[in-house]
Amino acid sequence: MLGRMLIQGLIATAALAALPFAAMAANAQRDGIIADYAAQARKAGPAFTGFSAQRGETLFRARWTGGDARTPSCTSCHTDNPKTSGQNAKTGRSIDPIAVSADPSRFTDAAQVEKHFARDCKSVIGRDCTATEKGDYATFMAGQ
Amino acid sequence: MRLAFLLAVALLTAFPALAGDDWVPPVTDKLVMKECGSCHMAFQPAFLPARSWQKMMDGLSDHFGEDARLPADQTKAIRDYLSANAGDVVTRGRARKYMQWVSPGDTPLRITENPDFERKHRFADKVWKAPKVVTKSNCPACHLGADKGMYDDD
Repeated sequence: MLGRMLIQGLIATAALAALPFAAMAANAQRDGIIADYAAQARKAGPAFTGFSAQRGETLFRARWTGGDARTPSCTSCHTDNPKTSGQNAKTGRSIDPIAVSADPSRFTDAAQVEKHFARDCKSVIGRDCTATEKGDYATFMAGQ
Repeated sequence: MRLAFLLAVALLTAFPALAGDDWVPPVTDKLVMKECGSCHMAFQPAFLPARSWQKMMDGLSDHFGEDARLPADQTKAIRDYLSANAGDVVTRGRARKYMQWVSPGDTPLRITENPDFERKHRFADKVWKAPKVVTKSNCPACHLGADKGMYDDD
């Protein structure tokens, strides 16, 4: 009995100790993805001087007319508050929060991030997003 | 008596199809669950015949208006799974009834246009327009066990 409690205690301690490492790994992956977008943005034009969370927020809240009428804004699915769950405006499916503080797995899988930007930029704006827009958006969400 | 009851419970748990006809084999493939379940529920392949899934996977660049393209290896793996578990292949649970309504020359893409679906979903407009529903293909809005293939909670 005592042995079992000890083992359970050890497991719990190990899990707790591992948590910050998992978060650090996720942060490193996210930083890598944002760095990739920065490299692309620099290549696209010399005007690029870095990402801006503020521009990312403007992009997130903007209303567009070029895309699908059901999704004129990022907020159409993600709601005005990126820390809350959203709902896909076309399918009704619930969407986990897009803010990193609410879902630390956000912006950590490069292929997933690219896939969703490809789909969602077309759906909301009606065109592909630029590397600067993607980096601004990810930077905004990383701080949310 | 008690033994018979327990046996019945065990059987129904192990073979939900026995519990009723409103059941189809659930999706068990991780990639299919993830990619097909990314924007909508990962619909069970038993609701459409294999040729429909082939056509579906051929047309991902315009998937009901959405660009749902995936890398070639993933597209192939998903195509293989959906075709191998299609309604005209597995013929289990509700699949049999759905397939009875699909004529051999037809290649339907919308599960919600099957007469068996329509027959069971004759609701007022306000039901379909409820904020939690949004669209007819949002099964889990009302069927809480939809992702497990259970549709008998009506």
